[in-house]
Amino acid sequence: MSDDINELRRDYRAIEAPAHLARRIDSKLATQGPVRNAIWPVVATAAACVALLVTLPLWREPPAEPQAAMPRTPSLSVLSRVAAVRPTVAAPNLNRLRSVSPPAPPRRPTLRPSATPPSNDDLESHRMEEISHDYV
Amino acid sequence: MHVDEQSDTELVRRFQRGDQAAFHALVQRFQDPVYRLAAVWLDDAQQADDAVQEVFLRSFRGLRGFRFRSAPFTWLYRMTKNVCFEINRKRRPEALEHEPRDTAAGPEHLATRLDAARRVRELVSGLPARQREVVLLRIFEDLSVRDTARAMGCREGTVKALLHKAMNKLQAMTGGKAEL
Repeated sequence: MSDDINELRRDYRAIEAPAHLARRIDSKLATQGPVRNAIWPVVATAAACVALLVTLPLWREPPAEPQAAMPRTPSLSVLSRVAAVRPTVAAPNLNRLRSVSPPAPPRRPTLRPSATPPSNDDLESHRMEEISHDYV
Repeated sequence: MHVDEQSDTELVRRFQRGDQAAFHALVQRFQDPVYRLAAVWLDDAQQADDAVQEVFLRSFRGLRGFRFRSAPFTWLYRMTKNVCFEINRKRRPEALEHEPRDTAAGPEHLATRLDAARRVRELVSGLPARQREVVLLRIFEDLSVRDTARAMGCREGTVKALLHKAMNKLQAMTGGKAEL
């Protein structure tokens, strides 16, 4: 390092804070209140945790009923076996089926002839009118 | 064991156990380096005072949760940097034009006290931010490479590379006077 910088360094390190500064800081600190011990918050937190752990079993709810086991979904192979089982309903006997008489067919409605047969004149004239109308 | 002979870590542990005297010892131990850094970054004696006060007030609250992943000073250094950057951000533009002022000390005392900080600031002002930080910590605050790396949140190799570049640049700026 050069002599100039060395000399400057010596001068710089000779700088001292004014004497009144420490007193000023002290008086400011006096208004800040007493120093609280930094251990107390830790101790208080630990005590609270211990108290919580001690009282926690008292608050614990009775153990819940063990839940019924969920029904297992049957496998596909089981399902296929179940589907193959036929229903145990008795099959109808063939003889009984033969003895059963079929229901009578519905009767045909009987048409009674009217006294005067209907004339087709109106129908014919109407048809003619339609035809003529179509050709107009 | 007297508080002055105890390590930084031990003092922090005692403070965490509720010993306020340990915090006073930490203030006595670190107020000078914190003040020097603030004087370089802020260019204002009054604001440097305010920054140091703010750093120790915040550390009073924050050291309770300190987990010893780094040295206490590197932690304080980061806080000092943050506080100074916050002050610089809030500072009105016209305040930058004013001469450094100090109500508690005479002008002669102030001139000698902050002249070195001003010269350091002028020296490193031509460097990029990271190189400036490395020079401040490694050269002027005399931190080890390891502590510098931890304070800057980078690897030791990065610190060495940045320092090499910074010294080369300083050498070029001062006409070949700066050497590693």
